[in-house]
Amino acid sequence: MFASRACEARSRRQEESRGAHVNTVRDPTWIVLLILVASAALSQAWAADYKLEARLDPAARTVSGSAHIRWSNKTTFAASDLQFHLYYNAWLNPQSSFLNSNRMREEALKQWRPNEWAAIDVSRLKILPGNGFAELDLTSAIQYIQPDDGNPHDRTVMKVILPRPVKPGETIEIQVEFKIKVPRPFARTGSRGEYFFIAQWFPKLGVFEKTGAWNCRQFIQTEFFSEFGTYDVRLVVPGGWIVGATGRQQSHRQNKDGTATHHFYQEQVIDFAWVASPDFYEFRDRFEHPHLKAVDLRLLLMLDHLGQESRYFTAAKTALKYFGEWLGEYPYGHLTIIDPAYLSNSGGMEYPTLITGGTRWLNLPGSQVPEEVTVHETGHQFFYAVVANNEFEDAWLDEGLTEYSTRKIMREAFGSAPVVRRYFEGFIPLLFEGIFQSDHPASGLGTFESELKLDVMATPAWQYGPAARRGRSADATGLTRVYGPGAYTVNSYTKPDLMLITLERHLGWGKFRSILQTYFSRWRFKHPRAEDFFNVVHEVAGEDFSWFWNQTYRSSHVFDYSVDAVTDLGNGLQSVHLRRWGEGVFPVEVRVEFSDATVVREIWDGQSRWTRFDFRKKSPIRLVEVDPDGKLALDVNYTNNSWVRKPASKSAARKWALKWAIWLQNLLEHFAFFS
Amino acid sequence: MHRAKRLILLIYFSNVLLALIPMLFVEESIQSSLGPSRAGDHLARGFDPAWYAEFRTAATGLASTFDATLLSAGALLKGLEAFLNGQLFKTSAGITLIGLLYALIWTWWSGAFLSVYILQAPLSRDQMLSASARFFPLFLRLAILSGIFYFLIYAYLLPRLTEFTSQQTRNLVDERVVFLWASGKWLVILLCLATIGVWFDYAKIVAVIQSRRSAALALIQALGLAMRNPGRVALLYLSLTLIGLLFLWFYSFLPTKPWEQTWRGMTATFAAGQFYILSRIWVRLLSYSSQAALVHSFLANEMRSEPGVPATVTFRQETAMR
Repeated sequence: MFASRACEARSRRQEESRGAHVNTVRDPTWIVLLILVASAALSQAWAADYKLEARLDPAARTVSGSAHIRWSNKTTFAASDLQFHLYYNAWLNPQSSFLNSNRMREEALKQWRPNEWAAIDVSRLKILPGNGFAELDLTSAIQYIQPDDGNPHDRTVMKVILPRPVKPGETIEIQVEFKIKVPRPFARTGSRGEYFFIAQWFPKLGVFEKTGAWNCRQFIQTEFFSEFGTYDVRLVVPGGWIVGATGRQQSHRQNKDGTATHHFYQEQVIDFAWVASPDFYEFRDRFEHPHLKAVDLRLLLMLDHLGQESRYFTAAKTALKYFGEWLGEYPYGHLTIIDPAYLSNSGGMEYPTLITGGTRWLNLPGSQVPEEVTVHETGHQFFYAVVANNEFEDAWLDEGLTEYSTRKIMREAFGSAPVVRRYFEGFIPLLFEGIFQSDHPASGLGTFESELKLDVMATPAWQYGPAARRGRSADATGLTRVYGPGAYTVNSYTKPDLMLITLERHLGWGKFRSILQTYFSRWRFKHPRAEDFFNVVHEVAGEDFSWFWNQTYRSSHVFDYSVDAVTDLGNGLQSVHLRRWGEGVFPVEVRVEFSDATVVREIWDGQSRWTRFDFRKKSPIRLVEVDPDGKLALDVNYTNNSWVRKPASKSAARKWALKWAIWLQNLLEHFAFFS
Repeated sequence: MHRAKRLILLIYFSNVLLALIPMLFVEESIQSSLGPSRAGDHLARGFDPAWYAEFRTAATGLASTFDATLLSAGALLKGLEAFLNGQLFKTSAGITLIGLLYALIWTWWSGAFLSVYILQAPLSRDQMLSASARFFPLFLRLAILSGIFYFLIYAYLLPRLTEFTSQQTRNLVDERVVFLWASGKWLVILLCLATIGVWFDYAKIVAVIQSRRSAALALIQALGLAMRNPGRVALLYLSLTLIGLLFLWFYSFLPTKPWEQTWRGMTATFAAGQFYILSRIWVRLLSYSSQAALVHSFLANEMRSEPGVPATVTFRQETAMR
């Protein structure tokens, strides 16, 4: 049934596209073009359609399900096998590649009880008759493969050899029966109490790429890649529970056994996630814009966060407005926002048409929580859900573009983010007015031992090296990680953000916006790679930026320009010495301000290790700034970018040291307690 | 209280001195990090988060404890949190050393404080030194003994309570309920710390009143006194805690905003900070004096109830000072 609905929808799309032109166009050239457009649209018919049925048993913490999968081979190669992701097996045992990797050894695991581990068990897999295939049970042919690390304990990829290959253009339909054991919350899936967040839960096909090979990586890093498809899903949960899911809810039926069936349907998406809990409060709102498609917003809020619904909605609407205006329309028309349960480890995640935010019970106005996470995850609807790059390899493409856009939106719509510290296990927040989070993120990454050097950005995301060596740190959910943010975070979020800011400031917002728009419109409902983004930049900017990608994407160079010295040589001759400390080379501007208020701007190509600018002027130099407008956001040392003849460093240091001293005095009185 | 004016000032100046000396190192560290940059101007006017991000990654030693949020309520909460979870001793080796030195200074002068309060008369400089020297060995032993109890609270009780609350709340989805559990845990820790603190304070008072040299006997007698009068002991401690909280509350109203670089602003905030420190010292001494009066009354009552003992108990200066 779902297949016929999908076909109808496709026909509708074709008719609509024809209708827009046929009446107005008589020229045969246009008719040929139309046929080409129509065939292009057809070739975009979704490759993997799923009809899923699942029943949640909260007491046993299991979901029993069946999947009717219809896969079409859209390549020019025959596929002799099918490969599926079985993500839940990542938490089957501590030897899985996911848990065995350096990044993921969580101390929290020690607290897991034996029945709190996860598993996905495929009990039956068969080819359905039709499309030139005879019915055949392939359960006994199931194999677990480890294409990435050969770890025999890892069962996150399942493969079945087909009785005959699926030829290019052919379709195959299969039926899979499976059962999952829902774990303690881990990597944004699992249950806590009666809150069930179920993501990456069904046997999901990998992507059969144009090269004729399956891209179905083991689950080592929390990133994903899958084919576009139609999802027609029926979820059976206890009656009275509220369900949020990818797609629009089609119906809701009470069953005689006290359960309820919730039916969701969505086309053109790459995944399906859902959440169920009796503890949700439901709110609805609508995003409207003069030039963009309206979006129905649905928020499922936890009891302890009542009162924060407007913050979620404002953030989501802001994101839809900015992303819509900058990139193009949000195509789905609806968005479900989940407010995750406390310590459910499911916050800050994106799924098609469904996002998870995150906030706290005591949350101060102006804290930008949950605004920032909501803007970020809404942004992922554009970079991840619509433009669906391969996150295994190019996590930076969606994460970096979303992070960059989020920071820009947050600055423009919400202003600078004040620092908020949380005390006593994070329960008590305190907002510091006038102390803002750094707008210059490279500053916190270190200089000579910069975290930007942890790995090369071009490394496939799932292969990023070990995490940072800074030791333990408690994250927002209260979990203690053995390792701090490492190469993955830096190369997927921070560095791409800095790279894109630098590019934007170098090219100007107008041109950079055109780049984003072109990239979005060209790669809608497709799977771009890094090179595709670079090509759009070159095309729109009209300039080859290989020199930039080579230094940022293909190497771990750091950038650091400084004002080295200002010397007075007498007779009004003054010299400004600039130095390049980093390996990275970028043209920078130099701003020199004299005591008589005159200003001179010079350009340095930044190639040599140092340079000197001489000025003959009676008025002494008052201020020198290299890269005064902060165009090179990748500069890891911002402080050495300026020189002031009469710096206020001494009084500033006295002022802040005095504050520190008062804190120490306080601390000493605590020590006095032990006298 | 006024009898110990000189001692209050002595303690306060010790506090200031112990904070100002390391402050010079932190100041030097900040200044050197700022160099001749514009960040100095920004920091002088308000704050410069980009500079701070760089400073934080490079700072070592005492300077690594510098944090932009050590302002007014931020400083209080951070200190209180460190006190309750035992992180006070893990902040930095330098700070722990300075803190222990300050605790030692308090231990030294406690003999003089208590003598003043028990005799209810001012002491000369020589008498104060003599009283401090006389009771210091005993008080030091008591401090070490109490340290064992505090260690047990932080190293054994707190982790177990944390594990217990974590197990009890592992399936809760309402943060407010988890918060209540956590609050209960902190309250238990606070009560345990307070109980040990009161017990050892009473032991010191008993030792001064009865000129005891045995820590064990002083502790036993103090425990007996407190157990026989739990209501009054608890009431007094609660009153003192409330007074302390009142000052804390006032101080927390200071804006969590970096002040402008004006002498007026700097002076006002510094003065407010010093007022708060003085008030904390005053509350601590108030607790000594009121506890001394309470123990005095307990002992007097107990002696009065014994046959043949005069109704009034007096302690001669010579006894205390000998």
